[in-house]
Amino acid sequence: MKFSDFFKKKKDVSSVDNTSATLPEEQPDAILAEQTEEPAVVSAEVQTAAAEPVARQSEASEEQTAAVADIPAAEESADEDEEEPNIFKRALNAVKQYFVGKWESLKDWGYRHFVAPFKKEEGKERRTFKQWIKDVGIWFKTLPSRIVSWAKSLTKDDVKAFFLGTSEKKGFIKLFVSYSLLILFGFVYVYPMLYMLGYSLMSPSDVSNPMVNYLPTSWYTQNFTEASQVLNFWQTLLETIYVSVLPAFFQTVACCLVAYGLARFSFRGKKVIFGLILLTFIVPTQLTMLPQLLIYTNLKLTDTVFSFIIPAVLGQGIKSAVFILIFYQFFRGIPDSVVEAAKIDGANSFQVFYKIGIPAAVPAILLSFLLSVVWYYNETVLSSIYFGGEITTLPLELSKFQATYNQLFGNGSGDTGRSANEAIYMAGTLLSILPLLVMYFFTQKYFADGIDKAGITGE
Amino acid sequence: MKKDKKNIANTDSSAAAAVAVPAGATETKKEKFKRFLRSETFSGYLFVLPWIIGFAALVAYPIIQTLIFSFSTVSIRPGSIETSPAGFSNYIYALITDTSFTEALSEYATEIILYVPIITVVSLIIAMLLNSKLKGTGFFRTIFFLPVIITSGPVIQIFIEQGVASFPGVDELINFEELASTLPEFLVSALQFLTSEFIMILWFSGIQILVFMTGLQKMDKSMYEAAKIDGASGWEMFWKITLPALNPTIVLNVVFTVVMQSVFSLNPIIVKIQNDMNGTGEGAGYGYASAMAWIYFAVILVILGVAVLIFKKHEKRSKRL
Repeated sequence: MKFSDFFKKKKDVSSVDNTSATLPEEQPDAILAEQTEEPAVVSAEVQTAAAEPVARQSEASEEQTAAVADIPAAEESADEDEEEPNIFKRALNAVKQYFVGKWESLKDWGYRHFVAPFKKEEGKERRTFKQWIKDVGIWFKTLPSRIVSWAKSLTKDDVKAFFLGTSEKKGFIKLFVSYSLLILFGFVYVYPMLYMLGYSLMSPSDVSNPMVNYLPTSWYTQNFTEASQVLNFWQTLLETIYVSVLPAFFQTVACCLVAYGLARFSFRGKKVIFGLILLTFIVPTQLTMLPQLLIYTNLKLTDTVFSFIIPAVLGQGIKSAVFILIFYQFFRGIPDSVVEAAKIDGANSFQVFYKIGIPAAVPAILLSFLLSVVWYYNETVLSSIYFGGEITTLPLELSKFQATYNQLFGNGSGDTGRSANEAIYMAGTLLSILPLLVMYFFTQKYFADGIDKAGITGE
Repeated sequence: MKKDKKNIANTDSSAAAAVAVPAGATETKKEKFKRFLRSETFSGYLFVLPWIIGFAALVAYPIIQTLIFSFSTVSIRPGSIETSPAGFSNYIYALITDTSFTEALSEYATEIILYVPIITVVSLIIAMLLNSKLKGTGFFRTIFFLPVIITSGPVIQIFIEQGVASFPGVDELINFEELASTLPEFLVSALQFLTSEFIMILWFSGIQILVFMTGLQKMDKSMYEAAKIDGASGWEMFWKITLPALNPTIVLNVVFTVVMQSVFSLNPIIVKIQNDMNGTGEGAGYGYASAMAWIYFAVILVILGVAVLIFKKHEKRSKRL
């Protein structure tokens, strides 16, 4: 549909409307004719349409509404004809549909509350708007007296129940204390993050101003652009993901297998292995670091992600013992009868693991993978040694932030330069954990679920 | 051929005659092996095999090598490592001559003594709050678990440096100099440490909260109902039912907290060992660093043993009561 068409149709409708209105009465027509901007067209139309009276009127009004409603839809369809519907357009359509749905439900709500009560029903007297208003008025008028009578009817026990609670309901005092504790602790937990966010948005003048403490005076994002330059954000982020997701994947697979072996089979030396797994949890990395580095150097695996992957595959990655324990709890929870049934049906051990064990451990798999990603992401000691600068991660870049900053932005020796640096440093810190935060907010359900379902309670 | 058939018949019958009857001497080695392949033991070993290889190559061997290093002077040159025996000199140097190491050790011990009770109590309180079916606990759970993703990284160091680890002004509320004149020095320094890093201590309790929550959810609800009928108050129920039932969970959390703090990369000892390893510390040299690492490992084991003993003893006593 084009703009000219749009006007044409509108014109038609208005003219038809006018003509139909002219017929029954003379005077309104004259007024209408004066009001319309194109008297010539109207007069021409009057003659042609004079033959058909009221029937045409309803048709015309229908046409008008239809035309108005059609305009956006028709325009869109025309656009779609011209080019392929892309993802952007589909998203737009989805959004539109969402709002249309909302509008429909709103209309429905309005009908139920404001139209339906006044409709005449069989066997019921019609409730007029006046009556409704009257009812509402009475409700408000009697409110004080009702409150007084309710207050009079209260006994000591009722008050006690409200404040101290009953066996079914929690008392006000308990709720108040619980929520204030939760909010207090919650604030303590997020305070450093909020502080960092506020500080990172401060302009140099805000930083040097002692009156500005938590909230910056203006939305100053320059810190973030500079910090992302210093961190070489996108490039480093890609490398970080590369060295955290890959080992995390292998670690999850390996720990899953080992835990299944421990949980579902009985063999000699199982207890010894269990003890050794706990031992690997306690051993400080410094005890094994250099000999491991020597092994990797001999195998020419340093400076590559394999120096992370190989221990992960062999179940000796970062905190592998924790993951093995989580998986162990899950696999122990599988009922023996299920496994027996599968074995009778001719499944071998690996098939049982694949068809029964893995589906049962999905929450644990998600939890382990996510935690593993987090721990590999945050590892700085091992990654600085094994990768030797070949591969860099965001936390590693953050640790040499000041040096890189001075290199990039000249001499940071001036006093104002130094204080400005701190806000930028905060921005860099925030940027370095931002990927983790984003991941956490999308997946936090799985973190809690996994531990919830594993039921690690110290048996 | 005949012999084979006989054997097959034999194994079949022995299988039929249940596990109690061994396969017998007539079984050949090959068949024994085949039976082993099909047995649970073999499958179990197969699943655990990667871990065993990994443990041998990446944990056991390195640990032993570090032990050897710790008794020798090690000089690292590009491409090769030279060792010469040094007896106990590294250990003696660490424990007697090098005061910075013993200082770091005592700092670590204070940290553990402070961290463990605070983390355990706070995480138990938060877990009980989150478990009490209030509205909006999901939101709070998100907040309380948030530190888990951050505390393992170097960001914590930055927080402490910037003084975000505590609320501003708390330091000024307490007059430490005045306190130092009345209280022993140890307590004052502990208090100072608490005020400066209080938020960080709380931040380390993310996983502990969740472990406690699962422990609470597994609790037998009929116990509480019975106690209620007998007229027990919530306070009494907490001490008489909740706490004893949670004891294994508490032990687990204590162990977890100790281990996590011990292997945490900002731990004073870890920092010291790391510096010496890189040759920037006082004693320098890898041999010395590995001696310290071994001492540290022994200390961790002792602390863990003590912690477990305390709580296990308590468990026995509560069972007797």
